[in-house]
Amino acid sequence: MAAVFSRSCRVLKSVSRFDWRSQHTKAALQHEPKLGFNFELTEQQKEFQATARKFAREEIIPVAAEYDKSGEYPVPLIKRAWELGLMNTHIPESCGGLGLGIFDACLITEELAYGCTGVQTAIEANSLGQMPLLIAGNDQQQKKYLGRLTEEPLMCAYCVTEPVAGSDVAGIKTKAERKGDEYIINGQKMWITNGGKANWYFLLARSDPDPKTPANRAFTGFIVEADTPGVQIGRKELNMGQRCSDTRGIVFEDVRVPKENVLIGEGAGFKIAMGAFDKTRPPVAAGAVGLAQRALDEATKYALERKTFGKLLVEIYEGTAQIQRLIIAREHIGRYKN
Amino acid sequence: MAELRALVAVKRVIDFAVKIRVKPDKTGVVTDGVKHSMNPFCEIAVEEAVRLKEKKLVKEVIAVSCGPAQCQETIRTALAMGADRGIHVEVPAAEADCLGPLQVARVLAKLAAKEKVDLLLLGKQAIDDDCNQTGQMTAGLLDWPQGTFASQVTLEGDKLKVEREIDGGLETLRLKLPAVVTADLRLNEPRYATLPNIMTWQSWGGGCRRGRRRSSSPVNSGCPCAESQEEEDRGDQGRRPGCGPDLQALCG
Repeated sequence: MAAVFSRSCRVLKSVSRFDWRSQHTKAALQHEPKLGFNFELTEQQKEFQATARKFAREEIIPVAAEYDKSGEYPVPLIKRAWELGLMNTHIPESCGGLGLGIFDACLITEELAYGCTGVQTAIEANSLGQMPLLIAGNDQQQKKYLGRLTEEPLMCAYCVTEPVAGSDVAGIKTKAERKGDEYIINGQKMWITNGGKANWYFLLARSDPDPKTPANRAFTGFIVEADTPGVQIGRKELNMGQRCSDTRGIVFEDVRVPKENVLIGEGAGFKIAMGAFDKTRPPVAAGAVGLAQRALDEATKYALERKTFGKLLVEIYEGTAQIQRLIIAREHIGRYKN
Repeated sequence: MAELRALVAVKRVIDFAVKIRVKPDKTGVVTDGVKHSMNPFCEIAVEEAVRLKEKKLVKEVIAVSCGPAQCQETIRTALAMGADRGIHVEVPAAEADCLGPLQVARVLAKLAAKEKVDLLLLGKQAIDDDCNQTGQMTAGLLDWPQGTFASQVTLEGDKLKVEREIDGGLETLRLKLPAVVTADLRLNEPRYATLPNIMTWQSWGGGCRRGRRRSSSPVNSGCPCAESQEEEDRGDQGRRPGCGPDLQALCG
């Protein structure tokens, strides 16, 4: 019994170090050429991960608790992440971005989430807002709106969810009426991340009032500038967690959007919105993995410090079992993500 | 004064956060599959060189590293931090274990003379062997003035003003250029390698011609070891086999 505990203590002590993944108890890893796909990260990905990791641990973690308490939007952190190139990774090189794929984004997000998921969400919501433009925007739209994001640390937001419909995207009620060269938008959106800080929004609205029109023809995607008259930004909602992330309701009252800001064309909105989800759900999961890793590290550190009933927590069976469960859960999430 | 050229030497070492394990046969430390990165003091040296370049006091920053092929990662990091060129002095993996401060100093001395640099920056010591010798030896071989344990470096006219941290406190030296400076902890706070920079330099090395020069030396010619380095049994770390790469031929 004692031998098992002391061994688990040693394992936990090594797990709680910085780079727990790089611990090897064997003398050397044999790299034999094998058939099949190589899952090892490329050099560049390792460097990206190193920069994101350093940023998270040296800049996010020291201030995360303060931002959580005050709920203040982490502007300095976002600016710094923007300077380092950790934000807006999907933007193509023609617009001044890095043109990275989803995997690289997940890698970076996981490391940022280790620091604070509130900060990570604020940063990730930018990718969500940009995604419709990346998949459906024409050259002018991309150059104009994505170019803005690479020139300055501006934010954007993805406005689809409403008080009446979130999961049921086809049930949204915001209306868009064509009037000459413009569309008039009326409706209410809710739970919009970066709602109060965005420079522009991607908006999904129902352009065909006929309830019998199928979803794949009834909705249109628009790019709406945040300072358009009629855009009323609601109060900051208080979340249970990720409290520094800015989540608000937004009311659109007779907001006029030029027809140049329509993505692809009238009726193409649903597919664009769904396509954007395809590419942005994995980073959300990656964020959860990063958070799980942090929870594990903090719990392990505490279990190795805290004494009760005359023993360290790790030496008491219950504490160790909890941590073992956390480790197993973390491994499962990690594997599922891969 | 903007005609100055700086050479920064960087070393690839086991990452500071990794837990070191001794090899089962006790001949050294496990390095296979273990995370490596640039020596922290070398990062500080690179940062200082890049800052001097940004202040327009230095025109070109060249990063150099001696070792096996993996050193190219370290040079890439230096390039991503702002160095202009990189030089990889390739040492076969088998001989890399025997590469000590004296051999590296000889290589750096030869390179500094060849590249005609005015400033040679290094970290004060490497975190794997803690030798604290390379900078000093190089200065000796080149017969250049040296400012070690620098906590502040400024250019005053044609002299280099170096504030050093010594046992008794701080000492200020004014060195004639060319000079060797080794960086101490409080010299500066190294910057991150930004993602765009990492992408720019990711293809450096390997067969890529840009900015890389292979040391055109008979290092690989297989000459018998010209130098042996005896080391006492360090108990846990074991004895290093006495050998030395034929850098004697390189250094002529």
